[in-house]
Amino acid sequence: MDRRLFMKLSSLTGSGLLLSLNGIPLHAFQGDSLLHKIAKSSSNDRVLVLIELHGGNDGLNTIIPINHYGQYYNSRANIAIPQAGLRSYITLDSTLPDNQQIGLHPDMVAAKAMYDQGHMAVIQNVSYENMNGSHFRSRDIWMMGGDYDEYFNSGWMGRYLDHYYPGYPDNYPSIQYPDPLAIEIGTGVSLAFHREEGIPAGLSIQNPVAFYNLINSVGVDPPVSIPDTHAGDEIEYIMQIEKQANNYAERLKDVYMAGSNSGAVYPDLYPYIAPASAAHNPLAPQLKIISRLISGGIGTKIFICRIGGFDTHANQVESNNTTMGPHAALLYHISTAMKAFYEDLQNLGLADRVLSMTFSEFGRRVASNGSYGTDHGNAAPMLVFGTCINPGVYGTNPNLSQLQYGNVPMQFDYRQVFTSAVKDWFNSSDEAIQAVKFQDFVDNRIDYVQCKILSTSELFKENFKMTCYPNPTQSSVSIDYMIQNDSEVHIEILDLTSRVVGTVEKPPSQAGSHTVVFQFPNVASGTYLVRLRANEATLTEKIMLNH
Amino acid sequence: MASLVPISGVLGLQRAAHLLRRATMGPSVLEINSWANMTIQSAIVALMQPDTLQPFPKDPNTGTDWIYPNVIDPNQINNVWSPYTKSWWLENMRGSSLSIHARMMWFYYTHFPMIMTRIEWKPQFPIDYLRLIHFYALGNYKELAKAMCIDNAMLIHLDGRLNIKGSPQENFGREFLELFTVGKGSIQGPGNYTSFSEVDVQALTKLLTGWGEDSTFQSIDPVTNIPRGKVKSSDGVSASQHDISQKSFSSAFSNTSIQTGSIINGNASISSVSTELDESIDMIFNSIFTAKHFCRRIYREFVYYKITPEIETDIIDPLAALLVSNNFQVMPVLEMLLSSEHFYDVDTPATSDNNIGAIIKSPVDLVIGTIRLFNLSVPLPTSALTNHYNLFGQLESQLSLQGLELFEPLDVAGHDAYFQEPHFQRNWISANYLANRYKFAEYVISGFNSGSSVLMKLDVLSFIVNHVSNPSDAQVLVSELVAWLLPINLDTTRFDYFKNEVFLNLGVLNWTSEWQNYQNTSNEIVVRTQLELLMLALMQSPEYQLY
Repeated sequence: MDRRLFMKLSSLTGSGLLLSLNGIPLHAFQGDSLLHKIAKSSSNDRVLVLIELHGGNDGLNTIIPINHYGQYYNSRANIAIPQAGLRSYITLDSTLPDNQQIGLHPDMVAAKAMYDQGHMAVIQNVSYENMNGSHFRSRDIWMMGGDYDEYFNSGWMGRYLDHYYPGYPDNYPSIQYPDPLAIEIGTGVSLAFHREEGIPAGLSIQNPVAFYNLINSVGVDPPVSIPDTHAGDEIEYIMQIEKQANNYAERLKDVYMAGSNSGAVYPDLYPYIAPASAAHNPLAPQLKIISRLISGGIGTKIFICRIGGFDTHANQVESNNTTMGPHAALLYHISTAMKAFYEDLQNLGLADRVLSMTFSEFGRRVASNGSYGTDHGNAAPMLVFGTCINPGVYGTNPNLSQLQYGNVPMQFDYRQVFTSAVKDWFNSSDEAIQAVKFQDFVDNRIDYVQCKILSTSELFKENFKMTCYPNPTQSSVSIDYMIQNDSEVHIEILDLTSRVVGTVEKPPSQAGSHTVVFQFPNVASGTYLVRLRANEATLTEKIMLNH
Repeated sequence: MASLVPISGVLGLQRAAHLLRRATMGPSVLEINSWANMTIQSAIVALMQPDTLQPFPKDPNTGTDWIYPNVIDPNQINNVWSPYTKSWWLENMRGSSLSIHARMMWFYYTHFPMIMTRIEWKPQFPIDYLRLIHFYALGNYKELAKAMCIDNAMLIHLDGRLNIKGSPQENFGREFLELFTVGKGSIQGPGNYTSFSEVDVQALTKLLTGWGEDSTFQSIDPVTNIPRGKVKSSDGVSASQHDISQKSFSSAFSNTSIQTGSIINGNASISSVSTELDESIDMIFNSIFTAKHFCRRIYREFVYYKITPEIETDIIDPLAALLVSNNFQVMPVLEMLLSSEHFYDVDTPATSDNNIGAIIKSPVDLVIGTIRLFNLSVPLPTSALTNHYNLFGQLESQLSLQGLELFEPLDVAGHDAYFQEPHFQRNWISANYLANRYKFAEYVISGFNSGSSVLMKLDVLSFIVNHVSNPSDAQVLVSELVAWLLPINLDTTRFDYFKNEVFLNLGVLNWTSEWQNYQNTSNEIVVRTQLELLMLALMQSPEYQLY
């Protein structure tokens, strides 16, 4: 919307950057100090994809508690998923104990396949104390990351991003962070990315190319000085949003064009009976864009997708078939879209960088109502997807004879789930956890992240650290490390395909600080990883080799 | 201190423009000029005059409307009439008189939101809903709220018709308390939201059992003369699906208990079901939370979205008291607010809390307001029905590109800008929405077309010729346009930006000679080009997004 700013910006973030972040064409790194900096800053290139199930998902028809099936059926006979027959629930995992025996909705075949591959986890009965029956307030609470009686002006994701990327939006985009910090697929802005002050840290887009063309075709220069009135406050807000759009539109288009999807087929139509409005998969196109942006090298940390239709007060199932209808279609859409997304990401070699999870403002009442639907309830399961997770079922089936006001009571606070994403997935410091206001949930966070990178502070507690220099280097690298306890130490140097290019022979294993030197063999310039293992933990540092 | 003391004297141009922008669907340039000479008292009297609805929309296939006893064309599917209904409402806004009536209809639509796809299988219902809010828009909020409980559209939209004894359906009862009347306060304990509690949702739900839509249009409201729903009955005298057990409310409603008055054949008598409704409405409107919640909504519609403790004490509380003392007649409240020193920013010498120009226009205000400001002619339903629907279909698309799916909010709470704390109106501004608002300005000037025929277009040159007092003087030209188009005074830098940037290579003196040249030769190409650039710049500015 402001051409002059555009020109300035595109010269700053030349196209050379586009391919630099994900190790796709490594030669792009060579001999460019700018790129070196980026490579160094991107030690954690992980992405979180949140899928909001808008309206309150009926957890009990998503995940059926097999050990309470009788009560389940009696509470909701007119919508219950059958135990037997062609379209009965799918037993998730017969090896689980009785109180974790769950059945998936029969339209979640794809989710079952992901579970069998070790790519899905179920977290049961997630909620918060004093569940608020209002869609709007409850959604705010999940987005804000607070208690039932707390009112923040910011979302937890906004606070996370504010901590790691201070000075937003004035200092962005920068050479180090050329991308939007967060992206909401859609057109509007939700509370999720709001910071305490100013514009949200996230940008909402649909198609990056159309967005670029639109942004580039309109607008005038903004005013230079802003009146000190409420009107001035609103003008400033509009200007900031406009600037954000200007700043990122071209970059997004370039990343999108540089990226590609693999041959994975994203689903579209629900194959069974449901109203026409539920027929098309609303999630798959969103995930497809995200996959392509990631493959194009985007550095964005958090994506949100939103799908509606979960407020199923009436006719959530077909009156003559409880396994079909709008809710069934939604579950089908989520399962098949996630499966396609991860196939796509795996084909592209990106899957280990992406963690996804669903959430919804609340679950629904255990008892159905007379209109083949369910009213607002309390706790419900969250589904976690990824190739780097600890698959399984967390928590136990709700005891349907011990309900709270007719609702499933809470077993896990939603922040126990999100804290793991912030701490274990994003490898955030204690200070960041404080800023996000999740500090009370660190100790009982849920252990679904498999590939943990231990944070520096935590590593230090374990008295274990490593520094590599010079970086970039022309030929050799010095590795300082410190261990508190005697331990066998292994140091390997790998390329980005995880091929070992060399090892340090017999590094000192006594407690204390040591320095060893590694001489690179005759390998190409590019990015390498120094991996140190001791005390059953691993440290990794990136090193640029530049002959 | 914020003051409701009325201002006095002649309005002048800026106050007249401010009042008309806020209180109507937008003034034309001529109207701004003529109202500038009115006193506040006469302006308020004029604003409070009722407006009439245009004749019902016509189906171009049949040439008639589909209001009973007319019937819909059975060969068409149900949703063909929805765009006609939306066009009808937008045309009513466009053609509305300079009265607060159309503004209050919009207000009530945002307060009692409606999702048309839920009701379009009976395409008279959305029209009856609009007739209902039109009927009460200048009248009594309490009466309207009661009528909403048994409006056909509302009974379907929030599932009231599915709420039957033994199988309560809370959808309507909850939203009636949370959104439509008392509003939600802070949480005092489990399920206790200060102004109501979960107990009240359940009791009210029980009280409202047994109503259903009347798709034969035989139940006519005696006050409004508009079709409404009915008490379901199998014998014509008793309510077959109404719960006759006692309805016990919480301390938020003084522990009121409401009982079915008379029983026939083991069921409530039909009239006693209505009586219970009356009693519950009295109870809910006896709560001061209802008046306060409503006055906050009014304040956000007409003044600004931020409500400080000072505003709460000085403005909301007295307005709520006034509303109660007038038994929920709304006009006295509107009159007081719109005449007040607070409304015109004269209650405090400080400017930082000034509110003029501080509301972000809704897409309707931008689109309809622009058409009205320039008094653009449109194909009328009486003379050019096909073109009329064509144009208004294009306008509906413009609205949705700007984030307003008319009659289709994502949430039952309505459009985010009216309820989504803490940012309210700022939800209208995302990168996409903003760019599409700017794009709309371009379409206004280039014209909305159907094939080769122009449906609506701003002829900038003839507008200037007909309205600007001395177009040859660039200073006069720009200052008159700024006063008409923008809600705030510009500083010299900003004023000169519009004056200079858009006269690009011409310079101010050259402009005068170009204008004379145009007058002498009728060769308009140069002045038309420059004036279109100027107009586009003004309309693509952040300032034009406000009123």
